[in-house]
Amino acid sequence: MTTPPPPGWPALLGALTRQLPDLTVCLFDSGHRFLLCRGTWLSRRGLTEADVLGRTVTEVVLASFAADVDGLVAAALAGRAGTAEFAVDYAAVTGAPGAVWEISAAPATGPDGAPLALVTCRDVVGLRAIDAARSTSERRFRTAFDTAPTPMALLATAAGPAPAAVSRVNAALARLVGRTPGTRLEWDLARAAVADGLAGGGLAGLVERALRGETDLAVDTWLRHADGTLVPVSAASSPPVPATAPDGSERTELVLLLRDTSAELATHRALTEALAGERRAAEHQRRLETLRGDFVAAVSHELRTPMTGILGNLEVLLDGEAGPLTPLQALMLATVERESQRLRRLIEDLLTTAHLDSGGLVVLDDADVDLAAVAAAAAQEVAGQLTRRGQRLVPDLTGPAWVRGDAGGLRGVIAELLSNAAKVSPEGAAVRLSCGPDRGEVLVAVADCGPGIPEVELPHVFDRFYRTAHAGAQALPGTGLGLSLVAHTVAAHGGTVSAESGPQGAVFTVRLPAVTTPTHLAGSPA
Amino acid sequence: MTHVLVVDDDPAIASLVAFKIGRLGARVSVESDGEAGLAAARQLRPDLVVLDWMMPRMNGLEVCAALRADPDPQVASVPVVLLTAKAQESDVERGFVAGATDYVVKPFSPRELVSRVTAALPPGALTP
Repeated sequence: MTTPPPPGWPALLGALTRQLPDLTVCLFDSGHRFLLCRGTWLSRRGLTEADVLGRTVTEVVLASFAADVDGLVAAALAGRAGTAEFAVDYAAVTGAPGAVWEISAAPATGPDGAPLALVTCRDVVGLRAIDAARSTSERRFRTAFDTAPTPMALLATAAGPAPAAVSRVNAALARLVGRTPGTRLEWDLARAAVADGLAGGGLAGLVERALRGETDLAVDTWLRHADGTLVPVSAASSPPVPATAPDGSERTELVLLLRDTSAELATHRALTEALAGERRAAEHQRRLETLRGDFVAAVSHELRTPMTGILGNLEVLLDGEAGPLTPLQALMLATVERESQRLRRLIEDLLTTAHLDSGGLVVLDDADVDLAAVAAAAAQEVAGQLTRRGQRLVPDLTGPAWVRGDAGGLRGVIAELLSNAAKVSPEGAAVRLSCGPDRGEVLVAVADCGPGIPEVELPHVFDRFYRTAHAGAQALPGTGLGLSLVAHTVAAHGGTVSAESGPQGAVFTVRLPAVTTPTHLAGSPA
Repeated sequence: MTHVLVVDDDPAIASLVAFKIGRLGARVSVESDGEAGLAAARQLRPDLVVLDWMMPRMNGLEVCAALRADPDPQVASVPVVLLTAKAQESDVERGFVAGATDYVVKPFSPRELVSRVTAALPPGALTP
């Protein structure tokens, strides 16, 4: 027969096993019989509470350790608590996984004052596995932490307002500050994080903010090396993680990752200095350019007025308006007039150059221009110069060849090229001028019979003030500005000019975008 | 007798222009700054003014504008030939806006100046 359990106990044990699901609780009477039993042990054995109530320990518990459990119950009934562990292989019994039961027995008293034994029982295999896994992952973390190439510090703080202290640093960090990892260093850095004695102030702030839960934190700060120098570092913090201290107390941990930024800083400093130098040089250059532009403009302006006086009076003299001239006087004044005209051209070139330098546009007009007609006009302009040297022009003009732009400027371009060709070609030679449409462009070519241009000089012929060695040696008239103005004007028309040289002489080629239907002809009757 | 006023602060140019125009049988007066030129134009009421642009005390454009705004209709309608060292199109436009009849860009040929002055005067006023 079974004794009913003491009132209140079933509810108590039920609540207990619901709170602690891995705990099995049983109550035994003085006859070692089950009065109550709740928990997972029953299901592991393939039993229900009804199967065990009223039965004795030795009738229910597996024979291999029934005597030992019975002994624990007997001791508890006698007033002594005890604990024992038993490994069980359930495979043969119920097919359930094996267990290691930690069984504790404690004395209790029934409502009638009779001694009872309260036995708790739990499988510690699972708990052990968790402990083992924890210690393995701890070992893995320590190994990775200690040997990582990134300098790192593990900081820990107890609950409450206590400042974070460095509990561990890795070898890379120790190397960075010239120390060997150890207690002393850990103490030093702990103090550093608090008092900034060994590290820049940013570090303590970083840790505080990380502990407050702020994310994506990083600061640039410094650490003090063992030799007293400062090591610039960039520090980042992991989020804080709740952890258990070796003594079992709760604490918060976080990992500080540090990066040596000396090289970066040095590079940055060098780059900044180089950039500043570059800016200074550019600014200086710009000031020089402005000064030169102003100077040239002012000088050219001031030169134009006296040139009017010189050329005007020469004209009056040569016209005989101031009285008759002797042939020798006329010859000498003609020389003065020719040289003055040369000087005037130089001044005009300088003034145009200064105008272009100050951002002025060379294209004065934007009209439909038949370049073949413009080339013919330019040929007319230099006809006198060619005739004086017994040279002849060989034109090959295919018109109309429409382009957009300024007829006067383009005529100047072709006249300049023809005039140069006349200067470098020997007396009596032919200067060839061709112009015509060419695959979406209009092409003008001027070929001379001169000595050609050495290859090293070709890239520079359009440079301002550049004069070829031949022009210098032969003392050919020129300022070195003409071709640079040609290049400016052509570029302002959206075209290109190039120079080639061969055994027969040099060829200058101008290419301009062709206009298929000139505006003034568009829509007119065919 | 046709009367031409030449206003230019550069004596070399002023005398050259005066010489060329004088040879055509005109009476020529010369002033060397803008203010004096404007005063002379109002007082002398010339048939034509040759006016330099860049001058001290009133530049040529200001003188030209003042002439055009003059209450005396003969002064307001006097032909003005502007002498300028500025060759840019926008500058030329400014000259015409100020009321210039014609302009000559320095350095100019005296022959060209005379042609423009002759053209700006009534036919037969000068005999080249």
